[in-house]
Amino acid sequence: MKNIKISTKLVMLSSISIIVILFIGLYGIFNLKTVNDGMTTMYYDRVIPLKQLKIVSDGFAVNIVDAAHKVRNHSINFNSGVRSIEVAIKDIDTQWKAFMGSKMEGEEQRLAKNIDKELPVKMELVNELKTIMQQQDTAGLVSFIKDKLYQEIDPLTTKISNLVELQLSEAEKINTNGDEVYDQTKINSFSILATTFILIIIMVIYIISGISSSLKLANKSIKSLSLGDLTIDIESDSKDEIGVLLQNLKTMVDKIKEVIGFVKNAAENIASASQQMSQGATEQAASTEEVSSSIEQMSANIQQNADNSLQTEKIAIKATDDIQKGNKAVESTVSAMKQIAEKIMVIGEIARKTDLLAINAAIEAARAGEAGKGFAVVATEVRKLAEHSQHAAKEIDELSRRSVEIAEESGKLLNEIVPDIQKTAKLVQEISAASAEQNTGSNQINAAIQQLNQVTQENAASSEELSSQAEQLQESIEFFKVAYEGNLKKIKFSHKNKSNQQTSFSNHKQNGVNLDMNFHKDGEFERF
Amino acid sequence: MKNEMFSEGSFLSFRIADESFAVNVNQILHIQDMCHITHVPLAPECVLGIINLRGNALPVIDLRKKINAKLFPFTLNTTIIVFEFIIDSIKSYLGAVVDQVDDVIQISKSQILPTPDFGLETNKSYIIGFFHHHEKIIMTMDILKVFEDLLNIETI
Repeated sequence: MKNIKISTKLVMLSSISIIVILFIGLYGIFNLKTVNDGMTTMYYDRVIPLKQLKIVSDGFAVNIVDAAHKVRNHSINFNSGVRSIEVAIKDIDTQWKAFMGSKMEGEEQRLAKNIDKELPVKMELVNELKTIMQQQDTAGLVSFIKDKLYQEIDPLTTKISNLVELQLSEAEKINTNGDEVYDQTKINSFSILATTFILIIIMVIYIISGISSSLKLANKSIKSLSLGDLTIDIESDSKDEIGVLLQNLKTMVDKIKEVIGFVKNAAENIASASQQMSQGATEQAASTEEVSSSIEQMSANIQQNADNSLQTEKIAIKATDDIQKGNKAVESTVSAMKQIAEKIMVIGEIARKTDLLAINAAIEAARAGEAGKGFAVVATEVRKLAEHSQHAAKEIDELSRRSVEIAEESGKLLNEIVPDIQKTAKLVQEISAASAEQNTGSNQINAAIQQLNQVTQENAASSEELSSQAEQLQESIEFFKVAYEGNLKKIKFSHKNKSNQQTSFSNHKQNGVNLDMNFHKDGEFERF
Repeated sequence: MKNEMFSEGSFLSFRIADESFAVNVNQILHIQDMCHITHVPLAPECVLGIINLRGNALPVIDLRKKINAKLFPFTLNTTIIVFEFIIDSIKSYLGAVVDQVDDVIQISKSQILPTPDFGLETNKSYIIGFFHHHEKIIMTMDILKVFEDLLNIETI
């Protein structure tokens, strides 16, 4: 029964009631029909035949016998007697035929058939009486009354009376039967109603107690929950709606426990983190101060750099001019050297020619023999001088050529230096520009660092605030009592049929600090 | 012997390629600088052409080619030696190109070394002898023998 829903239970209850009501109704209708059938039978089969039999009996007893007596006593005349007999014959014939047309059985049928057999004989007698009266035969009438009327008519009247008695007894039987049916129906209906009533009462008590106990459990759990006690152990083995509600409540409590564990941890973490943050912010502030001073120094250095680069630029420009001048000097040196070389070549040529002439002179002297000896000495001397000058000219030539080479090399080098120096000047200009940019940059950095400092201080303040808020959060969350692991407080809520099954908390690994949090006091807390 | 006549006394030493030669000054008129040589068509291969010598045409021969020496290009030191020959009392002149003229040397007979046998008659014929001078061996040359064929052609 525990696994049946409340709605099903209620449907079952009402179904049982309806079925019982229907049954009782149908049963009553059926019995009423039985009684009604009895009444109908009584009316058509007993009361109407009784009336018919009475008319027949009266026809004989009153109209015929009485009329005969009255006529004899002259209370009435013969004509009235005849009329009375004619009416009697007609009525008897009609009513008897109607009676015989009705349903009959058993004793009644036997009696009726007996009468029916006798009736024509009796009617002959009546016709005889009628004839006597029509003839107004007083003597015949007296003798008829005396001999035949009572002997013949009375037995028939008795038989009809018997038939009437039978009808009465049959009617009584029907009545008794109706009484019996009534009694039976009464007893049966009362017993069924009583049983059903008791059953329904039991069911109602069962259902109400089930709902009430489950609701009590739910109410208790919710009350504990509202007081922040999460150590409750909600147990319900019922599977009905309230059972489901309790199950969901249990899930909710578990979830809340989990969430509170998380929140608690988070609050601790936030507290420690915000403290660290605060410390960090202070350190950062110090660092930014240092950085600021460093940047100022750097700024000064950059300024100096800019000055130096300007000076360097000036020097470079001057050096370029000087080098161009030097280059020109070198060029004139080179041309002078070339001129010298040309001149020296002339000297060399002269010396060579002199040498040649001296050899010729020597040849002439040699050919002259003894006479040319003195001349040969002179020629040799001249030749020596010529060779000397030739050597000297060659050396000078060599020297001047080397000087020209060197001068040209230095000119080339100077020419090469010029673009380098110009490039240097340009670079120095760029350095100067860069220094200016650096100066602005460092100023900006300084400003940024000032801002950073401000932000850092704000951060420090914020983190302190955060720390205090985290502490507040911790205090607030202590409203919730969460059991320590291994020391679980077990609250046993049981259903109507108490089961001893116990489920321990599947607590999250949290140090079950008893948190206290007044939700209704924390108006500023937003709920999502 | 004519050869003996020119084998001692004053010699003019000169260089062809890396070798030094010497010719007796009596066979030399004078020396002169290299000048423009007018090329003569159909002349023998060793004849460079003619130059003007005191109003007369002087044939110039490349002595280097003549003695099959190595040919260097002309330099400032390249000199023409003008030889003087007296054949049958007729003076004839001939210019010869050498790489360089060195000096006029006095050579005594004792300095002259004997000529080794080369096994080649022609070569031996115009090399008169060898002598030492300043750590060098100088070959004395009979220039008449060198130019014999040319002079014969000229005389014919």
